[in-house]
This record gives sequence, structure tokens and C-alpha cells, in this order.
Amino acid sequence: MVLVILGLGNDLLGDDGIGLVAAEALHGLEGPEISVRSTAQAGLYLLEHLQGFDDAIVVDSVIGDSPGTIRELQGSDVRAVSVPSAHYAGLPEAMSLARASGLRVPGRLRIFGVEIAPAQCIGSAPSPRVAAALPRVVDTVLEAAHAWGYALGVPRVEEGMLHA
Amino acid sequence: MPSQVTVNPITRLEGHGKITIFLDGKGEVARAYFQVPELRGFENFLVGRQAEDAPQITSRICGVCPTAHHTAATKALDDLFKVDPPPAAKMIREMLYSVFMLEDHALHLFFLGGPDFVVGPTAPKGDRNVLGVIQKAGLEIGKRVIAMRKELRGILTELGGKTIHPVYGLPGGVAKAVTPDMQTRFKETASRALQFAQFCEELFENVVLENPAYVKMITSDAYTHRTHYMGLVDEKLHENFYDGQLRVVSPTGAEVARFRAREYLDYIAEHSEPWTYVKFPFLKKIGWKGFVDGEDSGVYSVAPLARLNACNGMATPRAAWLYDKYFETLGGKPVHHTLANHWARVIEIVYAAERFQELVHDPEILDPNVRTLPTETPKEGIGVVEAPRGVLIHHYTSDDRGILTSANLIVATQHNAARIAMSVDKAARGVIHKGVVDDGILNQVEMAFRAYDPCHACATHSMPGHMPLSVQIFAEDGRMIQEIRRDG
Repeated sequence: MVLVILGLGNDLLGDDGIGLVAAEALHGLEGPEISVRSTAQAGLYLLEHLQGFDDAIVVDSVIGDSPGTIRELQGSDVRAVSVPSAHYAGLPEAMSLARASGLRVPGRLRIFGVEIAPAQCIGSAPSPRVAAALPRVVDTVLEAAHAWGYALGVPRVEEGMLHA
Repeated sequence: MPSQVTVNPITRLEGHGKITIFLDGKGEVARAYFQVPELRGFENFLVGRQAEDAPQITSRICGVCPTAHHTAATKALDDLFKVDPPPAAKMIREMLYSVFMLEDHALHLFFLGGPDFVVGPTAPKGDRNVLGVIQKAGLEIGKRVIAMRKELRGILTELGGKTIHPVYGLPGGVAKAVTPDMQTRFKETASRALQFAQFCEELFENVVLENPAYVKMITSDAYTHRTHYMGLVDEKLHENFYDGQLRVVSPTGAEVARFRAREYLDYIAEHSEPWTYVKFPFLKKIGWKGFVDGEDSGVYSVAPLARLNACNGMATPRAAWLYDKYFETLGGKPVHHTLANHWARVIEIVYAAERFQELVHDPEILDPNVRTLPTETPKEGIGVVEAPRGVLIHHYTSDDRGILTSANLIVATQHNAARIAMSVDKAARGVIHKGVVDDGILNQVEMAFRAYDPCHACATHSMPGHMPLSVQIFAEDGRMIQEIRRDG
């Protein structure tokens, strides 16, 4: 069994970078059974990061009313849609496509979204409310991985990580 | 006309595409608008930063086409530092760029254009997606496209750097030379890419061109606009993705301008409208005459359709043959049918594969000299490339130390903004009657802009991972009577 932990976001867009920060915090889990990756790409491009793994845990931002809240996104939240542009073909669509094509993509997938405010400030780090969620995000991912039977070390959230 | 026009502002970072439709008293379309966001935030962010960081920063603007921004920025830095890269560096940049265009176009062809052409424009919403395409055209297609793109992206990663964004572009050259070992492997990929391009060509031929209904749809008046066209050409006036001069042809196909990127401000100006903060570029020497077709209108467009119109042919053999066939089939040059963008994209896939093949086989690409070090004092730099969706211009100024003092980026969707607005208006008028707007009708309106693959707010990644499209329909008295959101 091999697990990929995938952080999504854009490090230039304030809160939107939280998925990347989380991946960085979880980097210490890397090993033969676990791969930690991050990307600013979207849609079908995510397939590249998911192919070849049995399980996947994705951390992304979601626009919401209470920044910092962690929500698990269910299939119905992210169901396949017909989209007006490549940029927005979503992850579920990419997964269904890969499965239908007989490619090896994670059989188990959990998606955690950290709520962020709709407007982001270019060039800033995640806001305090969102950054404060980092330890909880890490714990959430660890619990999910543990529940699937992965053996884990304990990553530390280090001072200054948010401003790296 | 509506007594009150309410347009909720959209921000680049929220990433909404937005169609606003105003109906008259009889429920017919008075005016429809399509809004695209703009890049001011990123431009401001660049000011005060080191010029050398621009290729990395601007490649973060878009989660889909980082290579286009990276390359335009790198070329702007060549100009800023007044440095000419060695031949091998230019070849490596163009080779990577061809690889990028090939994989990006393939994605569009199968997964974006595909649902309209393979599945059909009026098929149920649930079927008009990637899965619908492979259900209809065969499971192997999905697998083949994914595998090819993965292999092509492997090249981008190997030469471009193993990070989220490419890092190979430096003022005066590239960071990494091509080794004989890489060349051997890339040659194999290039052969497969050529076969893949042929497969794309055949699929389009069999599914679209053999179907008279689709050809009729492509050439229908609802999706036709007679505007000017702009594209990058080489010295033989062949289309080029990476370098050359910008050429503009009129709706009759006559050349009206040809200029270096450096001169773009003499040829392109921007028009403002009260209903949006988006500015509409137009041809300065002709002037802004409104959202209208014709030779007297300064409206122009970019993207595959425009590129084929703006050049005199393709530089590689198979693409050149397809180019002639395309104009022959569609009734001569220029082609004004927006939906022909899909076919033009297939021809560019073939060109990209052939150009990749040419460059990777050239012994000169192995020259280890891939960097000319800058020695001049930086001041102002302008770079241009053909992004998959059309002309992309980066323009920077800096102080003597190379700290950026201004940045202006014009992306393809901005060049196309006026024509996209016209296309949406025309399509809406054609299909919305007596106030009836349903999903199938809406899709036909969306098709008018989907062919351009407009880039709305490339920076947004927040789940659910796709752009919400908002369609608002206003009655004559200015009340919003219907809102449809494409957000899942």
C-alpha cells in the first residue's frame, strides 16, 4: 500500500497557500509507504500526482464563511461537472477519467478543505486565522492516514514554517 | 433597454466567469455580456521585486499555462538586460515550448472541445464531459491522452526543473543544456508525439469533419465574426509559437500591421466600458468603433483560429498540408468561424509535434553553451509568445539594479475580450427567445466562448477545483429574474 498526501494551493495567494504549508509540515512522513507532494496545478493536471498510488489524502482550501474551519469534502461536494474551461475540470472528474481508462489511481480518497475568505491578498502568507488551523490540519491528516493502517512518525509544526 | 444595469464586480482572485444577459420587454435579448477578470494584482505585486524573479512569479498566475508566462517573462528579461541567448538556448526554449503547446492543446481537444463535438452540444448535461467523450469514442483514448501528456510533461520537468513551476528560463539563456542521453530519450518521445498528433488528426477527421451536422454548426452564422486577427509569424510569415513578429490581418485577409513586440504600444490601445473594469484592447490605428465586426472596427482576436489567419502557412510539412485543407474546406482565408478554433488547434498539435521532432534531431541543440551572461544596465524589456490561447505580452521596466518599477501583462483572453463579448451576445440573441433560458440553451451560449478557452482567473485553486460560472438574466426593468451557476 502506498499513500500520497497532496497539498494544493498557490503560495502567492495568501490563505490559498494553506494546502502547501500543510504538505510542508507533513514532509517528515515521507517514506517507502508515504509520499508527500504539493502542487499549484488544477484539474486534470492533478492526475500526474495521483497516478500509481493506492490511497490519497488531499488538502486544499475552500472558500467559506469561517476561515480556519476544516471541512471534509464529500463526493457530493465535488461531483463531476461540465466545466467551461480546462482550468476548472475538477479532481473528481480527473479521477473518474483515470479509473474509466483503467489507470491505477487511489481507490480511497479523502479531501480536507480549510475554509478561507473569498478575497486573497497577493503575496502574503496565510492570514492568522487560517494559519492557526495548521496543527489541526496536520492532526486530521495523520488520523486519516492512521485509520487506513499507515505507520506514522510524528511531524512537528515548527516556528516560522508559515513564513518560509 | 433596461433602466438599470447592475453588474456585480468580479475579482481576479475569486475567479468568476460571468455572463450577464439583459432582456427586453418581449423576453428577447437586448444585450449579453461576458466578463473576464484581469491581472492588475499580479502586476502590482511584481513592482519592487528583482526582475530575475519575474519568470517564477508570473508562472504562478496560471495553474494551467505556467510555461507560457515563464517563457514570455524570460524573453522580456532578455530584452530588459539587452542580452541575446546562444542558439542552443533558443532551441531548447522553443523545443520545451512546442512540447507544452502539444500537451495543452491535446488536453483542450479531448476534454474541453470533446464534449461538444464528440458527445454533442445538446446532449444531456451529465454526459457532456470527459467521461462522455471516452464512453463514445473508446476507453483507449483517455488512456492514450493521459499517457502521452505524462511523457511530455516528463520532458518539461527534466529540463524545466523539478518544482511546481518551471525554473529553466534565465535572462540570456536557460539553466540546463541537453545531454546526448536526454536527446536519445527525447527523440523517442518525439516519435511517439508524432504518432499521437496523427491520431488526433484522424479522430477529428472521423468524428467531426465526417459529420455534416458538425461542419454546419462550425460554419453557422451564430458562431461567426468578421474581425481582425493577430498572430506571431517568422520571417517567412509562417506561424511561430516562440518568436517572430506580430502580424495583423484584416477581415479580408490583407496585412494591416507587422511589428516587433517592442512596438506593441504603437499598435494596441485599450478601451474602457462602464459595465466592467476589464479593458478591451483594440487596434490603435483603426480605433475603437464599438463591439462590431468589419474592417473599420479595431476589434481583433488571437488564439488558434487567429494564428492560422494571421500567417501565410505552417513551417512543417504535415501541418502545411492540413493548413491548406482547412482553408479549402472552410471556404477560403481568413476563416471567421469561432468554432473552427478546434480544428485549428488540431493543426497546431501536428505542427507542435513536427517542430519538436525537428528541434530534438538538430545536432546544435547539444551545444553546452546555453547562456550569455548579461553585462548591460537593465531598463525596459518586452517579451511575447503565443500562449495556447493566443498572444501573451509581458512588459517590464526596472531601475539600474534590475528592481522592477512597472509591469504590464496582456494575456490572450484580454486580447479576445471584445470578440468573446460579441460572440456571447450573438449566440444569446440566436437561442434565447421569449425569456426562456434552460440548460441546453445556456450550453449553446457557453459554446460561443468555450472555443476560445478563456482564462478567467487562473490563480484560483480552491476546491471544488473548477471555476464557478455565473449567468445572470435581467428583465427590462433591471430586476434579476434568473441566475444560473455552473459550480457543480
